[in-house]
Amino acid sequence: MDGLPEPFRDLSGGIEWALPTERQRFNKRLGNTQKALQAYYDLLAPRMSAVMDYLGQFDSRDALAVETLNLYYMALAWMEVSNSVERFHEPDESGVFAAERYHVKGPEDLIVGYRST
Amino acid sequence: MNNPAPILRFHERYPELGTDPIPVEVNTSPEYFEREREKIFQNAWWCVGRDEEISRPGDYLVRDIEAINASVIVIRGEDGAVRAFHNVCQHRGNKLLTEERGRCRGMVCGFHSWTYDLQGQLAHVPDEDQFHKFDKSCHALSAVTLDTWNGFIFVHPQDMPERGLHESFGELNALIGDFAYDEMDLVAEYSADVKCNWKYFIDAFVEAYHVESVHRRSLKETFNSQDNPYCHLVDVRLHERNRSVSCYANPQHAPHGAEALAYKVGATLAQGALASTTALKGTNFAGEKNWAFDIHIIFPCFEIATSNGWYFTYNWWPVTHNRTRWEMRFYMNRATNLAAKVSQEFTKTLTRDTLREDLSTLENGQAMMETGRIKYMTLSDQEIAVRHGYKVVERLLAE
Repeated sequence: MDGLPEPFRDLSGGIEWALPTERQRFNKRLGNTQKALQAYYDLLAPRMSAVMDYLGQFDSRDALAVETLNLYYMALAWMEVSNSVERFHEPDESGVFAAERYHVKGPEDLIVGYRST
Repeated sequence: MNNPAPILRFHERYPELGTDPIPVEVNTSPEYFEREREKIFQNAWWCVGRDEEISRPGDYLVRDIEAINASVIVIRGEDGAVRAFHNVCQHRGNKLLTEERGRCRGMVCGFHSWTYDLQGQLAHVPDEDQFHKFDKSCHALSAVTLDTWNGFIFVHPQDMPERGLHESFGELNALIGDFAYDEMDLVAEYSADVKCNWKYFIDAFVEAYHVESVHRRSLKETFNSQDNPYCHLVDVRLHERNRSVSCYANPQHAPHGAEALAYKVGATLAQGALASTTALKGTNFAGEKNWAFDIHIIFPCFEIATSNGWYFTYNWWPVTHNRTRWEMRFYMNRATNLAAKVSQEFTKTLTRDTLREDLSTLENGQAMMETGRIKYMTLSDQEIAVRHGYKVVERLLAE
């Protein structure tokens, strides 16, 4: 698997979270233990400011290197995971409408001819 | 607030709505639903999508609308115009297009390959000579009434609707007609098929009384404050059929963690609205400082909610008296760089999870109403927009 941009190689332990769609990241979050989510959250938390500064340099409409995309997808996944860590304190919030009956689509599913980042 | 508003201020503004409890039968009766179908759904504009979803000739959407017993194709023609047709092949009635969306050069029926052009005219019939005195021009697809409002595409089941689309928006033309829809991109759709009545479903989104309980884990600190512990609405405007509700934001809320990172680059759910120093077109109709977002119900089954940096829409698709399909589409400021998109991911995913909280009460509520052990719903002044929804339906069924 391709890695991360040089300044962020220390985050390679979380590369499995570099998933391109919201649905994939949501499912991965729900299918994980709270301990694993906390570990991913903790890995990126001290570096997220730097990650955001770095990603802020890239126009979202440009063709991007795989390493940049991986870091971007990991940052998106960190936002996903933050919901479990900061608010719900469990991977899937209990008592809410069942995830398997709740459908998540992205613009690539909805806009005919959509080209994604 | 220097001059505290009267405690029951919305009732004082709309005394004609009364204060009586609302019978639950309107949510549990199949017969009532059939009357709604005839009087309301058959005379309503249904939002089927936005212009940008089908930007090129041949791009199409298919919408099955159970409430009016129709499947509708919405397709962009060679001339760039968007048209709508009943999704019925004029040969032997097969469902013409079976995918939810796509791009085609012509609409080809899967049964015998009858082919219609993008304008709905029958263009090709295999083995045409075998048909008796056959004239293709007599077998065009059946057109459906279509109109657009600010890029939203609507269809109507009547050939000559009693009221036009613009007229149906009524006061909302002034309140949200100039919102920056064109500057935003679709970022997600969340949907669910829920076992509850369509009105009961909408009710969950036109009051903020539930925030304290239902959203205690997700968003309570964003919305509820010491000064406003029950998240009283900033304002309510009840129109002839439509409804507008403006929601409060907690000015003491200090973003931390992921929200703080997101808020450095983008609006987030309420913080952008709270911080707006100038009025954004199509938002904050009450002109309140501690404002989060506005909800507008376009009767009967469409919602547009506007804020700083985003808007979203809800489609409710009534199926039976106790089943409703729902779709939420989220649109956000066009992100110019990847950090902005990461910021939006925070707001998007938290809102998505918050909506699962909202949906959690619906099926239990419907099932318990159907036990017959509650006859009436008792509504507070904060739930006046709920009351208004039932009163509008009642009035239209009586006409």
